[in-house]
Amino acid sequence: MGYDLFPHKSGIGLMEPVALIGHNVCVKFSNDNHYRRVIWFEPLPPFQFLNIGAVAAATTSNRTPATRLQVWRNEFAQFRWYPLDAAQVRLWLPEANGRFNLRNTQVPVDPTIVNRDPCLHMTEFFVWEDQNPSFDAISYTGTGITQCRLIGMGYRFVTEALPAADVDRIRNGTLQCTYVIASGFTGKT
Amino acid sequence: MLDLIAGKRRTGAVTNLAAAAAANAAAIFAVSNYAAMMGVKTVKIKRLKVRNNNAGNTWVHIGTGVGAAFVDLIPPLYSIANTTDDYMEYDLPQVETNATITAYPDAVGGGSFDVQVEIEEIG
Repeated sequence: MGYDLFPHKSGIGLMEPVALIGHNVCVKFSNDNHYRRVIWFEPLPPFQFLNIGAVAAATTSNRTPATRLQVWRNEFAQFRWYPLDAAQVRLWLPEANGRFNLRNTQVPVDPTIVNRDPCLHMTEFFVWEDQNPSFDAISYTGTGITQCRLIGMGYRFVTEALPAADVDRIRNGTLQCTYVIASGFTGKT
Repeated sequence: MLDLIAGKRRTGAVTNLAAAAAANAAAIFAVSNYAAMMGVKTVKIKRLKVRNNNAGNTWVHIGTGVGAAFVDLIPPLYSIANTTDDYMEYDLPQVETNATITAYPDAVGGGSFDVQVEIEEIG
């Protein structure tokens, strides 16, 4: 009964949707668990979703909201991304919560990601409704960059609420559900 | 096949070398040691273009540092007056450095040099 789809999956053919129509998902945003069923979805081809702009040498930009990544109510989106320009870019989701976090380090993504993880599956994140992420750029070049463009791609999913009985079955482990994370999480000391 | 140590290509600006001697070595590619960046970036020279602008036949040094601190990264390159030399990856020892790359000619003979470097940034 298991789905052959899961977050950050990297199969032949690069990116796959995390769920198909009729699949159950639980979108975790902060402390909320949104149990939903996918009723429609579409791909989002690679596009430039944010340009942080010029960043001087040896400086870090402000956190810049990527409002282009918002979707409508009852929807969530699955994105993979990479920077085009020479910067180490950090993802914040929502703006106060870093993603890709270790205890002492927030892991950035730089343009070498396309060599080291061509499927970009390690960059994957999810957006719930209008809870878009923000990005900041660490400019490590000796001369600065004139723009900092981010390319994203993925899928948009339209969902409907699940009946309470189905949610109970998911919690009891008798109904399949794919959990996706749509926010950062600050670890406990 | 996945190359996990492949870097990204970047270019330095076209840099004019108007004066001879290591004391006048000019930066042709600047690296950063920004404390906030993750890890250390190093570079390898993948392509080098040298235009001899009526500077006579002489050597051009490619290295790091300025003056007494200048160190050649590769042996000096001989440049013929009023020609352009193009060195590709196969011509260039793949020396890796995390210092700003500098260059100077042994003589300018009343002319100058224009140098541009293309590097692969690793790290």
